[in-house]
Amino acid sequence: MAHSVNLSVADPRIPRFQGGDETVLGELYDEHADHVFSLALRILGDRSEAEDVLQETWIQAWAKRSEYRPEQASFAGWITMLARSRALDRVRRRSARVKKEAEVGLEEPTRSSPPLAEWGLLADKLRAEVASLEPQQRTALELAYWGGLSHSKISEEMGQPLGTVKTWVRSGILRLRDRVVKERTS
Amino acid sequence: MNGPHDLLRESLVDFVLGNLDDAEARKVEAHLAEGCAECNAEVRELHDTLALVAALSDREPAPSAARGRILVAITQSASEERRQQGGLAGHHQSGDRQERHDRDGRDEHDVRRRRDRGDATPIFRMPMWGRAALVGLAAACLLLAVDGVQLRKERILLRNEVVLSKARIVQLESQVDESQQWADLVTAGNAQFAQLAPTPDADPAMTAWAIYDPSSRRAAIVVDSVEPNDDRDFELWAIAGGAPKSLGVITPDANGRGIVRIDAVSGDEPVAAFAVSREPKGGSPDKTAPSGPVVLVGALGD
Ligand SMILES: [Zn+2]
Repeated sequence: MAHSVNLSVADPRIPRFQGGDETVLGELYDEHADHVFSLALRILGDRSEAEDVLQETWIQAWAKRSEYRPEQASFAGWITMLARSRALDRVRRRSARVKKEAEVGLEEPTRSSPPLAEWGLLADKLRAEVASLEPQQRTALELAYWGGLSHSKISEEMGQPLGTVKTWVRSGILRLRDRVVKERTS
Repeated sequence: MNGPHDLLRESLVDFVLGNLDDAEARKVEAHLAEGCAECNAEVRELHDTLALVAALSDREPAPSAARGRILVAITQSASEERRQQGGLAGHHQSGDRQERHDRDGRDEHDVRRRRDRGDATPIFRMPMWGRAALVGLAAACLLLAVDGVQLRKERILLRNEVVLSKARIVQLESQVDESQQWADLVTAGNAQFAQLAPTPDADPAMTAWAIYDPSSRRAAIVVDSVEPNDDRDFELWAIAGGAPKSLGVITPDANGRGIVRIDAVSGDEPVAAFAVSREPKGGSPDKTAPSGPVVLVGALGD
């Protein structure tokens, strides 16, 4: 449980945040802003757009705070989901632009510092798990997560049957999930 | 009884990836809201896993200038929200909100009384945040106007917020006109912001924000929820060159808000932080050091 700090349901700041106490925002922002920005930058590849997503994500998090369900995601998991969805919306609006999805994969980072230090050890395990996926399955996952592509679109891009793609994405994520759960409970 | 569970369980990966259409997503949401422990736990594990996957990428520090802008915008909308809730008697759902409403409801009545008797004190004076808050709230409105099927739901849910934000922008615009020189402080290219955090000695309700322009040394500090008390005062301090310097005792208005505006913080060293201490009436006898506990403190960042 040593890596579970940021994934805790019992973060005492969350009820205050949800109750409309903006004084906890500074701390939550400081803990998660780099993560949100990094994610947006990776999806969008543009600092100025990533900064817009950073701002939109926090404003949206505040506006939707009563909808946040701690039983369905840690705060980090929730804000990641909001940021990803905002960033992907922008990608989809760049209809004319060449897709960047295929270029931004889950490749081994050149630097080894994960965005959230508390997750360091867990991240190492997860990185190893990602690296152990079959290349095609990894690509399907990359397109689904970073590219936000539907299964049918991935199937088209990769020239693989829809059913195969569905299985790759689903079993890939479940495998990563199992690894996370295992590491967190060990 | 397990019908929907067995079916929906298969959709959870697509649900967290955002791959489901609105109707399917609503079914999953409804099932989760019914409290299925297994599905809620799985969704949580999946969300957290994806957050971890995202965290495998290189860390890119968020631009430091964004922090003040974002937090000020949210604090402004929160402040407005409370004001609005205070005026809507008896329309609250959760106990939490009700409590806040009660507290702020009294404030609102105070405000009304003041307004009724023609008190000249502005009801809502935070013009120093004007432009920054406008930027943030304009972004909030843009955000809500964004196209896309996935945003339809959000837009409906947030319609209230949009109305609040628009009202707030109108209000802020008039305040910016009213006090352009303080608004200029916000737009000063290198203005720095600080949110003052409560120390263990603080009344947890007290909050404060500061803005400071190092080139003009002009500063404005807003302290909220200051309980008036005949036995003590709160004193504001600037920390520059490692040494505190008194900026005077904070005088709260009837709503518990104290605003301190400093045309030029004296001295040569740049101000690094602001702090508030609890002092005997009249403030600390020594104007270079608090005599009582520091209750709020915050370092400036750009
Ligand atoms: Zn279920």
